[in-house]
Amino acid sequence: MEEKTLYRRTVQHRDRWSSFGTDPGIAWLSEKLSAHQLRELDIFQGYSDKFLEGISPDVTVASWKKGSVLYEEGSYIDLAFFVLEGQVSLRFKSGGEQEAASPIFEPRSAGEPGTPASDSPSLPEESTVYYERTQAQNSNQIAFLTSLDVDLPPGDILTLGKGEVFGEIGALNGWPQSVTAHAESDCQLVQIRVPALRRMKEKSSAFKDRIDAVYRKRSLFHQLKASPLFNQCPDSFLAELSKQVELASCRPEEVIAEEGRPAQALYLVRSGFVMISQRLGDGRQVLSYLSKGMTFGEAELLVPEGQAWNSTYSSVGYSELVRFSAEDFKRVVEEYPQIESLLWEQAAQRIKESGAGRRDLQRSEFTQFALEKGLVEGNSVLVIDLNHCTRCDDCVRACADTHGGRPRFVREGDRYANLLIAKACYHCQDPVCLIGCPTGAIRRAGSGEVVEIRDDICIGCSHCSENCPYDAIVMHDTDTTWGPDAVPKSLRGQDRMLASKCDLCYTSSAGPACVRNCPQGCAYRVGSIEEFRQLLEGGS
Amino acid sequence: MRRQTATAGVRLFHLAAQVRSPRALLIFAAAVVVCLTLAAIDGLTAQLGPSGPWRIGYGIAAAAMLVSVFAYSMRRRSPRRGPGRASSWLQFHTYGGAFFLLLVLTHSGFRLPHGILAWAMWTLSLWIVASGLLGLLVQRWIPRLLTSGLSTEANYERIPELVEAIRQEAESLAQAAGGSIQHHYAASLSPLMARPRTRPIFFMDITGGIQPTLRQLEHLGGFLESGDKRVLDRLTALFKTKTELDAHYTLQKALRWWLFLHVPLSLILIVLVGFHIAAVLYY
Repeated sequence: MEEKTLYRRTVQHRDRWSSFGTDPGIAWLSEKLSAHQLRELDIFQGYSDKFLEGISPDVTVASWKKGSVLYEEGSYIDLAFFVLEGQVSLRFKSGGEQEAASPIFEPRSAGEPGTPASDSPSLPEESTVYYERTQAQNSNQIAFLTSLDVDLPPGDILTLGKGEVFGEIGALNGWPQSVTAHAESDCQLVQIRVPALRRMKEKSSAFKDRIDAVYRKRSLFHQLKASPLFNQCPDSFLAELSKQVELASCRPEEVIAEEGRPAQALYLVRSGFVMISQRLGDGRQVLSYLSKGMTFGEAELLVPEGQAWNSTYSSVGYSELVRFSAEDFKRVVEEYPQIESLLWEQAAQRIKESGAGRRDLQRSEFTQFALEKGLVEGNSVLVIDLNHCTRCDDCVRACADTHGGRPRFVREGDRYANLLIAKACYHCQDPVCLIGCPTGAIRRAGSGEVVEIRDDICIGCSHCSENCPYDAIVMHDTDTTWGPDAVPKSLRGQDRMLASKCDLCYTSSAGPACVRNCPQGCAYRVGSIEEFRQLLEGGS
Repeated sequence: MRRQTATAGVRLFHLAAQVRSPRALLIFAAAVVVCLTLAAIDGLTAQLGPSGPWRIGYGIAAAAMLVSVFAYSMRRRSPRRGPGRASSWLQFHTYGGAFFLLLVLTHSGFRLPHGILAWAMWTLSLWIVASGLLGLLVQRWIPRLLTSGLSTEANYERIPELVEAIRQEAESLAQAAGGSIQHHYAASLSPLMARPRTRPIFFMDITGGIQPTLRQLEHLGGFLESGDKRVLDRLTALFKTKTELDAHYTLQKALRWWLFLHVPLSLILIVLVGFHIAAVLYY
């Protein structure tokens, strides 16, 4: 290995871990570990020296003091932990409440100066994003999934010891952590950042199986237990079921079930969105969509002889599903007949909704638009009411002034009725821009749903920009070139590019500059389809 | 046309009557009532004219209000932007500007002024408030006109670039097509596609009166073979988009240019008020 490269990786390691040095809970952090040192750890066995050397800047060993908090429930972290020594406890405090994170910006109270126009919809003026996404509000839901890596009953504690991994599911999926992690004793932990985790998962099916096994063991059982569908089943049955179900990962637009084909499974959405559509003439009409915690297939499987799918179900973006085979489903219904009435209720509700979707073309058109443009995905979509926008561009100028002269969005984009969806980061629930970032420069900003880019470690590879389906990340030239010791080597001598995107001005307590500096009060941050509907002319 | 004018007039009145912040309007109304009551009491008890202590008080208040409402403009141009929300500042600017005129009138005892400087300040005050009201109407009316009547949305600065791209595509299509299209394009469409055009008709008719041109194109389509017909369809679509961009260009220009009627004269008024205060203090 070239000495320059090794040196550069040591520098990268320091850059990526230096912020942890200020954590009072950490007694010491290791320097960059060599491939040989990494291989001595159980979790890195089976990888080549070259591979381990490549991921080494993203791995460190930390010694945590007894009683210190590793991360808090609801926070976003971009690393997983592997216990080398000591014990760590995971606690779930929130009870039935489920929300992503504490709001950074408090919504305005009604009636303050500058509240929306009398002829405007009744959305709070700064309805910024960090609304509580309480799944229970959704009438379709039959299961309450948290999308989290560990599900525990409220107040329960899970203690982990040597050789166990935690934090990985939240980190890999960009989800908030479901539990608070404490060091129960002085402990040594291997900390692995997301870029390394992703590469490890891609490289080794054993590692992927290990993560899936951890999910089944720690999370799936409790998720099934919390679901109204299965909560009357005994633990032994659920434990067995959670071993048998299939965990499915779907790519964008992948068809999960096709209209007219025999239905052979019940699906539960773990994360992402599933679009429901039906044939109409020569095309397809979008009826509705399903999100985290919802199921489909019950209507088809409840019919004694089995039935064909009456709609097509396809993944909107990347989605994760739990698949229960028809046999498992039948076994559950036979052994626990009380579940059947609940399933029928869900099925009737789904059929009713599909019928409503078919009749109401406007609703169907809007749902299709919302799915195609990713509005369902966004935690904070910048929407401008063109009925009031005077095209003064104060929003763009304010953004530029806040970010060193370079605006982080473009006042252009798709239009629906009176609303313009600006090309600004949506701060997606499942940010695909995070996938493939070789340095982990693009990440959740920690305490909220904000996705940010760290300029200091961005190497300008443009993966995030290419991955973003909404053209919300732009690459710009810094007018500098990479030095002779840059790693990877391909960068040396090249123009230094940086990825740039909206960061919601999250470091400012005043909130996003674009919204605050719109003189007409017609720039909104929208976090749900319902909020979007409210902004539409005359509602919907 | 007369009917369109009447409809536009009704829409303008409707928009002007819309209140975006009822609370700001209430505060403004209360301030007007207090000011007029004080002026009435003063009028009954003192000699009319700008020299009494009350009148000087109104003058000081008017000057302070002028500077305060001008702060909105300063905030917009400051990179740090200042505290609070821009929409609240704009509300203050709007109502404060109207209240400023009332204070000026009260200061002058609701009489015509004497002397060149007083006349200049009085005229400028009226002009600035009137142009502000015009701006308010323009800002209420034009966005709705653009949104309801057009299918495209365009950034003003990018319109010349977009029009040029359309022109290039249209010209290359026309050149590759048959003689009828080439002739019609050169005679009728080419001048319309050349550059962004400012056309007052968009204030009254957002479609820009393109129906006669579209009818001609439709008529021409009846004589063409299928290949040329497809070219003509594309040319028609480009022409419609170009017309929409012209509408954006004209109306967004109005949204920007009315400020030239308002802001420079406001600066002159502030300077004159400075002279006026200096003169009063000196003499």
